[in-house]
Amino acid sequence: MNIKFTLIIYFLFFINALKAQDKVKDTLFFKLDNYLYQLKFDSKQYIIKDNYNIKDGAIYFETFKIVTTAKPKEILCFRKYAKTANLYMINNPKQLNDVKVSKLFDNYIIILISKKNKQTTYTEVGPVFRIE
Amino acid sequence: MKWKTKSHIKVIMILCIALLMFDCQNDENLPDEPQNKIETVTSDEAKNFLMHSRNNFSVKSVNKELENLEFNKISQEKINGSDQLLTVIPFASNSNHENNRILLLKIDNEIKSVVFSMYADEDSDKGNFSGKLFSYSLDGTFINGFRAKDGIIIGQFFENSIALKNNMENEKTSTLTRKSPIQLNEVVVKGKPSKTVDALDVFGASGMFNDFDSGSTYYSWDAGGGYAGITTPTSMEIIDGLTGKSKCLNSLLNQNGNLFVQKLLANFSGKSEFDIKISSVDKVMVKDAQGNLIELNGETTYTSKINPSLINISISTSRSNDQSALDATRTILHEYIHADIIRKLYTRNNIPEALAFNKVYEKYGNQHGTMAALYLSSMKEALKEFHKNVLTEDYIKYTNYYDEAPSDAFYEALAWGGLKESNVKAWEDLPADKKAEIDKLANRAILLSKAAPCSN
Repeated sequence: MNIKFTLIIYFLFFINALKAQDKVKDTLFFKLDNYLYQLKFDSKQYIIKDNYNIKDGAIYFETFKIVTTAKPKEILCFRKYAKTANLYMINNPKQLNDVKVSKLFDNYIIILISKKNKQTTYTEVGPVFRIE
Repeated sequence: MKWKTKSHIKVIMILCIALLMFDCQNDENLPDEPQNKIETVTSDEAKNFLMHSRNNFSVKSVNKELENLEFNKISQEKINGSDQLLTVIPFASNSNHENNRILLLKIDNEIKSVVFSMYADEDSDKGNFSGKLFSYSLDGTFINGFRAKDGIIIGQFFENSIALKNNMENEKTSTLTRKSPIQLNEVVVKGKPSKTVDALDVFGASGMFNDFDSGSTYYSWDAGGGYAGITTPTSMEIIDGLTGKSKCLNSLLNQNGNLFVQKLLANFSGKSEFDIKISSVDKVMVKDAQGNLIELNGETTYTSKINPSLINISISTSRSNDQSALDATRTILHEYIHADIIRKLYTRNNIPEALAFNKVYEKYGNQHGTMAALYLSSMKEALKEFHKNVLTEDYIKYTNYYDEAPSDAFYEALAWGGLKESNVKAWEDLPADKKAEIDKLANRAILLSKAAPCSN
């Protein structure tokens, strides 16, 4: 009976630990390139090629803060990641589905990595949807 | 030993199943079939009904209280379990401790109205209402009463006829919202406690607690707008930061917009999942990827990670002042529709409607494509009614100038503003002559009056 009781307690702790782990957001690191890049005219905005037409609806990233972080284990290419995660509109392979992008990235900490003069900057960003 | 291990596995499996069942348990029983036919009372119908009622009351005090109604704050609130809306008009005398509102609903084709009063206890907080809720007929007759604690109904009041009779004889007057709970008997609610009030019960048309126990259909109202329980009433959660002409037109649209507009705005009322902040800015300017500066009539922005419940709308003052009043109203409505599409797409409630709307969104490719396909006809009707009923002087001028009343095609042409420029599929599919006709009719809007009909 005691063993049974101990097992149940262990099991409950195990479930609790799993649930607690769920709440910690993972971090995704993306490199800047000619697909995901800083807007020349507004350094706080990072735009995605073919997806910055505010007249039709733009999805882009906005700077939250500059962070200091340990060297990431994996740096992702946004274009490849978006393709693998099926973030594009079904009928238009160039256009991102803003809802899918926002809903997915809301679950992660997104950090963009830029390198200038041998210095690496880590910028935490979040998705923004904007339309006329 | 083997037997013991088997037994442990069994216990763990039962525990797992129990946990899964708790996770999936749904708090509410969804209704099957409605009991009474209910319909929305439009703002105009509500005003006419109450004006007519005023003339019919001989008691002066009742008339005086009806004069105290804030018709400019009329709103239409969601009825859970129905797509119809409850029309709500607050009294000017409302305070933190006492809140009186007139509720109107068509029940079985007849307009019913009641005074709904909420008396907050001293320890009541804004999020979870504690206190008493009563509904009375317009002549002051008690209909129903409830006691709420921390947003949950825990008791119901019944009329004590002897005490009531004595009191009536002493006072010799009948006024709205006046019957003290001292004249009533109170019972504690048994069974499942409710976080809402039964919309029909408030009107005295059904038996509230029978419905909850049996799990059969009921129409419930949040009585303040809370998903989590009854809350202290709040005004519509559309934060108005507009100025000048835009402010005037937006407030007229909120008060006098047709049923489509009222239903759309009701989705943001009370403690809704999304709020709107609508503000005026001198100019809405954006730079495209090439750095070209573009001026817009207005824009809608949503940043889910920073504020998942807020949709921001900016309206250009410079553009609004330049446009005709009707076209400026069209811009405001256009942005509200963007907010509505965002609400449907970005909801965190995993409901089938949201999944279905996401598929529709994929089909039309973007928000303007979706708006053109699904909202154009409603926009046309909303603009038509607003022009005729609110911008009436302008409507008459148009009719005199063109020697004809504005056609449906004219309002449709207006509704295409901000959509056809995006070359959405619905526009591209139109034949060339139809497109030319729309462009020609849309140009008539330039001749309309720019002035907004507000005194200040």
